[in-house]
Parts: sequence; C-alpha cells; structure tokens
Amino acid sequence: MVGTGIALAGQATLEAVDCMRRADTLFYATPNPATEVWIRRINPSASTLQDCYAEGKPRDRTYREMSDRILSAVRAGRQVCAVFYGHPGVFVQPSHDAIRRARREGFSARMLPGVSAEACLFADLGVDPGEVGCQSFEATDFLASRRRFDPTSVLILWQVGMLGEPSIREGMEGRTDRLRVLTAALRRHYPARHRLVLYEASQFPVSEPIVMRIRLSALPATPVLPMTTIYVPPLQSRSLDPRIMEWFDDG
Amino acid sequence: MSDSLSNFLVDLASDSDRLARFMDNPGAELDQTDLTEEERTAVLSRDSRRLANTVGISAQKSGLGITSKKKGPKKPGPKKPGRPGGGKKKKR
Repeated sequence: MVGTGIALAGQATLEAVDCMRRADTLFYATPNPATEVWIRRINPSASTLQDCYAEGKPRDRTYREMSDRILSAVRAGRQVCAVFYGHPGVFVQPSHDAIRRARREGFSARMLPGVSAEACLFADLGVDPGEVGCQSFEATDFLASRRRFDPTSVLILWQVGMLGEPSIREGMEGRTDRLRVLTAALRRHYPARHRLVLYEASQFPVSEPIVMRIRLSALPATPVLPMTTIYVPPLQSRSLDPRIMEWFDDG
Repeated sequence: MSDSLSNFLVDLASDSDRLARFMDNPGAELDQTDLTEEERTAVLSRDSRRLANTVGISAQKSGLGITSKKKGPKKPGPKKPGRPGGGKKKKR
C-alpha cells in the first residue's frame, strides 16, 4: 500500500514509485484525474478502484469491495500494489483492511508511509508538532465522542465541512447550525477572539495552499468546504513543573 | 473534461525546468498546449479550488467522510417479555 501524497506527482516517495512501477497489478484510488494520468504513465496496466464508489452506496461496502479486489489479485499470485491519495494509512480504510486480510491468509503485505495532509499543514503553516504537542481529531468524532484535549497544545480538526454528514455531495458546505455547535465546544476552552486557520493543502504545482485566518467567533458564518482542515493554535503554555525541570541539572 | 489539462499539469509537476518556465512566462507555456479557454483561465488563476473543479476532482470519490456513523454503547432497553413457558424455542 503506497500513497501519492497530496500534491500532484511530486510528493510520492521514490520507494512508492518503484513499487508502482514494478507491480504486476496496480490499483489506484484517487479523486484527481490528473493523478490518474500520472499513475498510468508509471504503470500503464494500472486500474482504478474509483468505480467501487456509487451514489447512495454505503461507504463501508465501497471500501470492502476495494479490499476484495486487491485480495483477489493477491490470491491469484500477482505482485500487487495499491496506491491511495495522500498517506495510504490516513483516512483510508481499505488499505488497512486489505493488509490485515492478506496477512491473515498468510501473504506478505506492508504499507509505505506517504505525505499526508497533516504533513503538508506542518510545512505550509510552519508548525512543529514537537514544540507543544499536537492533537488531531476528525471533527464529527471530536464532538460526538466529547474528546478531551489540552488547549495549550495544537489542535487540528479534519473534515469540519462534513459535520455529521453520512455522505458527501458536490458543492457541500458545513451547516451553520453545526458549525455553531463546534464553535460553542471550542469556546469552552478558547476566547472568542482566538485566531483559527482554515487550511487546504495545494494539489497542483501551479497553485498555493489555501490559508484563511479567522476569529473563532466568525466560524459559523464562514463557508467551510468538506476538505477544509481547521488548525487551532495553542493557548499560552502553563508554567513548567520545577521537579521535572530539575532533571536537566542532574545530568 | 479533456485529458489535456491533466497531462499539462503532470508535465509541470514532473519537470521542474518546465515548471520554472511556466512560472516565468505562463502565457508562452500555455501557447504550446491545446487547452481550452476555460482550462487556460483556470491554470492562470492558480486557484487550487478552481483548478480542482476544472480538472474534475470529485469530492464524492475523495475518501472524505470515511468515518461512517459509529454506534455508541447500547442503552439498557426495556426488558423483553419472555415467551410463555420460557426456555429455547425448539427447532421443528
């Protein structure tokens, strides 16, 4: 299982491209037709998994069909590679499912890391998750599971434009009433004037990432698309625990 | 949408010299392609969302929304009345 990265062509690792080139059977799932063109240049025999999607079809069934197709080729004795958009293991169910099933059946299977949207965010916004830590949640899960987090650390929320949506429609935007619920949840930890960043990584060599800075209070009135990520900067850190800091003097 | 735009974008992404030439003089690079006026305008806008629409990126097939509705822990419901006589139903 390998990833294309987010940006067209340039973010696939050398290792991933080598696997794609050498595969007897190469499957791909990417929403970007330009990425399909690039994949077919690498391995002309590549075939799409995108036809597993259908309007109104439950996502779980779609993903099961994808992993079924991958497994069928593995059972037929082929060297199989499946390439997914971004990182093959981040927000990608069929890759994890196919690996688990292949291993259970005695086949060797592995996932290669790829460039995820989170990796792009760190680069584009100049955020180092090592400084104060980083918490990352799918937005609906963040609200529904009442996730606990530390506001003095970075908070990243994914799929904010799809709060509680069972499926995605073209032209979809986050519903104002649901964004209001998210804003209220965040207001329990941050002031109304706290600055957020609405972020979308760039997918093309000629375009820039979308970086929009707003106040938390403005979130419900802001158009938020399904692929938009919210980056919430940390509040000021607490004072350090002197007992821990003394450890540095011991050495 | 034709494959021309996709091919052009892949060429730019795979060839840093060509990308540099495009950045330096976009019109000259675009003149060497058979892109439609709409496609040229989308490329020149350098707007990620506009390009995504013109290339034909499908949000519906993007893998977004992968966390399908999860079921929470079951609430204790009313106790079902047992069948008269209790025990397992016999197979016939």
